[in-house]
Amino acid sequence: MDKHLINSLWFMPLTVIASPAFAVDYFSIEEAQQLLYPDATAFTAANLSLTDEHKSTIKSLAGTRQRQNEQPVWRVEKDGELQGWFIIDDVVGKHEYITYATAIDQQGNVLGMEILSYRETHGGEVRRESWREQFVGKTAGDTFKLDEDIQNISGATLSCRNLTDGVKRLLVIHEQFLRPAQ
Amino acid sequence: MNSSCAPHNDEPVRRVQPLLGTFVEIGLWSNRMSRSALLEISRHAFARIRVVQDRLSAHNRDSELGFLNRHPGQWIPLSQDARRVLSLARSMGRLSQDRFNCTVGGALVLRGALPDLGGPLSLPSGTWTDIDIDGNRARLLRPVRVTLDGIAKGYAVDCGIAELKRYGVDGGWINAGGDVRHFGAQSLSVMVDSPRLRRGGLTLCNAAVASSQIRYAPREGHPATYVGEAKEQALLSVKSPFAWRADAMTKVLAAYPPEQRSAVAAAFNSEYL
Repeated sequence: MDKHLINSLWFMPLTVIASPAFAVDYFSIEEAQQLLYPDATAFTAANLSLTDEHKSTIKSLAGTRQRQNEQPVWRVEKDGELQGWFIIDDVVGKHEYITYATAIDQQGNVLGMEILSYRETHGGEVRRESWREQFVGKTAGDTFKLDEDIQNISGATLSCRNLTDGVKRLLVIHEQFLRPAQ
Repeated sequence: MNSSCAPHNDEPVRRVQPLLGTFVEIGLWSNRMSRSALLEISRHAFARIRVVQDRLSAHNRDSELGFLNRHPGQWIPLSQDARRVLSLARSMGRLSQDRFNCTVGGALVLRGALPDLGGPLSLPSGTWTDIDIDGNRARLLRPVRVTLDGIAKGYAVDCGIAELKRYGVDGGWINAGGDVRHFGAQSLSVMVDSPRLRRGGLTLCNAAVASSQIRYAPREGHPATYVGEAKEQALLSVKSPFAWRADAMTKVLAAYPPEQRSAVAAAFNSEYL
């Protein structure tokens, strides 16, 4: 064996078998709302309907494609005062489907995020292979800050990076469609 | 690590956050605490893991590790977390004759697996003896770059578990993309894709397990790159009392032929699965 042979080595995510394997529901929408806005008194549905032109704008500003035409959004108030927005979104990893909620305040700061459900879209061998394939490094161009920057000890998984990109896309949606006119 | 556990019947409270470059899941059981109290405690454990991440990331110029790497030869004051992990990594290097080697950051930068965060030109790799620790400070005796990839994720899991215990939770687990540690009286079943276990389930009881896949051909853009002399392409799984040790032991065992791994693991109070 070549002494200087460099091998790649990566972690196999182990699956905790409790409730259905490979599909975990963490929180309902209502519970995520309470977690992200514990002081809020009202959540009012304010879904956005996005045209193709809107979606094209989002893609050019965020760098990732807006798939949904209808974006579930709630306006969050405390005693009549706007606290921020609560947005539900999905990201797709290589073989995973992640639904998450993000809280964004009026100024466009991410207050927090919660993963609501995590599903793998394939089973068996494909699933296992998907785990092996999903790991990609974080590129030098990644400058996006989520709360504090998602820094890596051992690089970022593809799904994890997709999630970061998803939040970045929601910030663009906030900037374009939810922020009050200055 | 094999104290008795019973299978769990209660539904755990589970929460997941993107941390350590992967998804970190915390699951908790308690007969005495409400769901909202457990969620609040999980928030503290996530925060603790984030602190470890910020201190020890080799991807972050502002981390303590980044600073140490840019200033070889100088004594650098370090947090308790950084000293502890550096000390553990050094010991693992000594005990494994550098089969676990945290000074391969230079080689990883050359491969593009780690960002070049500046500082003097570094050696591709060194040995555990290049790390000098004294009190609350450390220095690199040669211009090597330390990367704690092989141990820090497990250490972060251990810190999260300590935080959960501190708040008096009955039991639970933390799973950081494959580094899993369990505590408490209700056991935890995990699936381990080990050829030796034939994809079998494993019951964890106050122990940690980690798995790593080794391939000869490096993958472009892959976050975790193993620099060393691996004996075969294989999936390695190790059970240890602590997540940091399970994490590190997968790298040590990769350098041994399969027939020697069980004995080597036992010498580190671990189990080759």
